[in-house]
Amino acid sequence: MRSVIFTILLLLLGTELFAQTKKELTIEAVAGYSDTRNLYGGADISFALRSDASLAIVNLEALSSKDLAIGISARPQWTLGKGRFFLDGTMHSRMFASYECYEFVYAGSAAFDFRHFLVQAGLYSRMIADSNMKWHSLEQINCEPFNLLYRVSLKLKGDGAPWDLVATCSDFTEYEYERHWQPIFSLQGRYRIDEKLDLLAEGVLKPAGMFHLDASFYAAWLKLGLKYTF
Amino acid sequence: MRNLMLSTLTLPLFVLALSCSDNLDLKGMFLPVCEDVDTRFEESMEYNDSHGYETVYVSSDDYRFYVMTDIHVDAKSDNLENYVSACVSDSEAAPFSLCLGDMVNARGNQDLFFGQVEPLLENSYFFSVVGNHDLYFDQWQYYRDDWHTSTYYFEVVTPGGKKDLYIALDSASGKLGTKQRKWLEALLKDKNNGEYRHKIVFTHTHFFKKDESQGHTSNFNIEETYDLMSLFAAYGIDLVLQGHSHHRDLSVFKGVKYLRLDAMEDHYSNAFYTVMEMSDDITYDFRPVGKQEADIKN
Repeated sequence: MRSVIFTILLLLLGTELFAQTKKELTIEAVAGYSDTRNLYGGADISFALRSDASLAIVNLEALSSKDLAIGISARPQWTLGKGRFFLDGTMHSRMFASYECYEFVYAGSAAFDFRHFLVQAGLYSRMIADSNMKWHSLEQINCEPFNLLYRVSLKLKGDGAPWDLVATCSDFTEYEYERHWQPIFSLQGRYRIDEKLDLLAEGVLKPAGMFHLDASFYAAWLKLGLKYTF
Repeated sequence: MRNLMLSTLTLPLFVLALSCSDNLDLKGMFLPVCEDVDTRFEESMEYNDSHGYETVYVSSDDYRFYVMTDIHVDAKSDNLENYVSACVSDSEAAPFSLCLGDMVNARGNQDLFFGQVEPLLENSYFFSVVGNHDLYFDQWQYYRDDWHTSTYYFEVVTPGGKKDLYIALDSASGKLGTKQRKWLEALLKDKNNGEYRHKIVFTHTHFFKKDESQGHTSNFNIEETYDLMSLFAAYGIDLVLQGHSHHRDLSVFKGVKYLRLDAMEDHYSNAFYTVMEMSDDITYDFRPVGKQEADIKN
């Protein structure tokens, strides 16, 4: 699966270099709290190449305590009635200096994206490795081979509107992939300043124990930033 | 269209049926079903501060003890009865046993569980941690009344002067909480003095999600998993005992062994308990109970 996703990504990215594309650069400041990290801050940077037929994205996140996330996604898409259908292949990694470990995630999914509604579902595999492991040691690698990946978003105004509010329930974001029993709830706002610049704001809540049937707060964070299209 | 209508009608009925279940507290999808983990920790510490932490003396440097998990007692408790009988009749077992939570399956069965394990309490220690099912329908109070604490530690001392440290953690809510996490790190720092032969953590929720057997059970958020794995490795934890998923598994990560145990509930076809053998090494033996035991004997 890894090599298939990687090949798709390479082909798409290569094609994009020669195609007519719109480019989007998103930079957001992050401030949050979690039971594990306490207060933390960071920055998210995302670069996207968008054409009528596909979208290629590179996401980068740096958080305090020297933790870094990087992901690369490719999305071929097709028009479907008034919306679109897309496939998503993603390779993602997070490196935790704090915990001396890192993870690789390989995800594949499909989505229906309409004006007011998006639903995305698929699978992802996670490999967890010890940063200090010797190259030949298998004991320092742990695999979680199959997790369900899902996202459901409700959009108030829809794509193309000058502003929008989007409520999402998912087990992943551009920067992290949670186990499928740990949903992440977000409310994102977008305001178009002009045809090239959008103001973005997002509030995110991550509970613990929902599917332990003893839900409680675990983490929350806010993001504020700008998206520049050129 | 017909299927969509059928699904639309069926889903609310399904949710309504589940909400009437005595086994699953659906309110917990959105809210805590009892005192939260920080409150449970404070109440556990209150008991620990007034009663202290136990020291168990065993009769040999090499000893064994019994562990059960996910008993889910309801109307039937035959497997529990068999386990208690095996434990009590083993004259060479150490004078303590562990229970990793999910003692009951539904509301109102704590007394049944307590009654069944009373023979174990007569001449030995019974160390337990709370499981998520033990919390449902506001039942933490019953666990606390019977077992008093779910975050604590105890030491085992052998005739040769060897010591083993056992740390109990409350993970029944799918997280440790900030207070329990802070206590754990302080304890591990304090006990990191080379005086222990083995350090064992026991808790209910499992850490890894390696195959489909854990597909139906939730566990920690992934970052908390990394944090705790890093903490255990940094302070030389040898073994982490867990339950929750009802399937055994052994994982090793950063030099720490994570041993997940089978369930012991009566309705479960692969019911086992575990006997741990402690020497300079740690080994274990899964022993069948109930239908599994009968099938093997036949």
